[in-house]
Amino acid sequence: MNTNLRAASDEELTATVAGQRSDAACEELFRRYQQKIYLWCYTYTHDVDEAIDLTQEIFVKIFDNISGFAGRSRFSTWVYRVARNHCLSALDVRRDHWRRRQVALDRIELVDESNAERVRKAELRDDLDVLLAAAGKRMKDDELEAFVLHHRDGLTVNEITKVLGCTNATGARALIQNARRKFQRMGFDRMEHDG
Amino acid sequence: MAERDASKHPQWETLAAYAEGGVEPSQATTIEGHLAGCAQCRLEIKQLARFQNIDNDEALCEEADWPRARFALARRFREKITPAIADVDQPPGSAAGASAESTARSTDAHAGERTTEPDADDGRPRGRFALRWLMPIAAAAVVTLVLLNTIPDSEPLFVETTLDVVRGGESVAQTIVLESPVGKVDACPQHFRWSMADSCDSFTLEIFTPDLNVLFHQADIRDTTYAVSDSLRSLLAVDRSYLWSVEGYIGLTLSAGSTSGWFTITP
Repeated sequence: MNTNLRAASDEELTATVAGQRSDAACEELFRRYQQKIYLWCYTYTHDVDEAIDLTQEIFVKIFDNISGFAGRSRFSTWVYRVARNHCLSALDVRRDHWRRRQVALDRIELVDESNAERVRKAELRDDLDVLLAAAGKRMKDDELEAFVLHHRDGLTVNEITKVLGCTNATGARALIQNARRKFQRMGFDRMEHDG
Repeated sequence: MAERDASKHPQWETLAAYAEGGVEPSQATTIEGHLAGCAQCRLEIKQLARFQNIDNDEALCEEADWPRARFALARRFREKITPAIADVDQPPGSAAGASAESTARSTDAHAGERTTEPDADDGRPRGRFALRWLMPIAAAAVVTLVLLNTIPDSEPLFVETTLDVVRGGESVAQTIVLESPVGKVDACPQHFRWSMADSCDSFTLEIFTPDLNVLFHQADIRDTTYAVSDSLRSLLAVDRSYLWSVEGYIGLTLSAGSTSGWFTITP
């Protein structure tokens, strides 16, 4: 590896990749970011092979669109944005796939409490933006954050504990449960109001 | 808690600049006022911070089996990512270009920093890998012909060939010299040894059967010697010939290779 590349900043490497399409600069950026992106993907997929696939897709996106990096933020911030959006899109695709299967299960009137819970989660996710806007003063900040991370991003309680800086997983779990209870109550309120 | 108003989310670039400490104090005050009432923007900043430090999370590295993933990703970089970005030749506005970062989420800070479409005339060496798929086929045909013409039935011998091409890799300088085992050996080898004038960070050892199926693959060898493990020993049969070769890496770059050697364990 060229020692000049090792010493170059992310932004200098980015300019080299965008301008000269340098394979060596691509490789250096890959070396720097592969672990971050892979681990990030893993927190969404909880599966090694899926996370590897997502990481590959994200790097192709990054290199294909690197000329669009305008330098208004640090390169690492831009990479985070690409990775985060790609993971959320992948999660959406998986949820849609699951939801289509779920409809089929409902049609044969399969009574299953765990499935019913999944349906409720999916419905909550669809309404997330509306619910967040309506949360107002009813919800504590950390409850709302834990709820979004759990239902939008599919993060585990352990991961939420780390993102929010909770002292332990029990605290994060309690936040999610409290938020879910409040959201469900709000959902009923809204339905009664709409009705 | 302040009322949440999605229409007043700061631009993503502004939020990122705030997180990086790059905004004026007056702007920081405005953003902090917004953050006090907006869970989504607060989460953006917290998740960005998590991303920046996620590789320091040893427990996560272990849970996610990072060593295995790292090896797999090095291979993906060589075999999938590099060819994919070299072969891209899509017009502006095509799906791949327009979809970068696209999740079609709400506006402002939650919309994502839209990238411009890939420049169609950016001077990339396009098509550099376009014929690459032909290389393994052509090389395999050549090797097959060579083997058919040079291996007597009674005593298999292998001419040295550039078998690294057969495995789909790029042709590299054949600067690694295989030392042992080479030729007929009277016992199962205890070590595989090779040498080279330059240095590499790591080596990959591969052993093939005469019909070119990979029998054994060991990556990330840090020395020019590999001690034969019990599992490998159990794979090596007496009175049968094997091919082996070594690749050297500096970082993720395939930097050196060997020609293929052969050995036979005599009864």
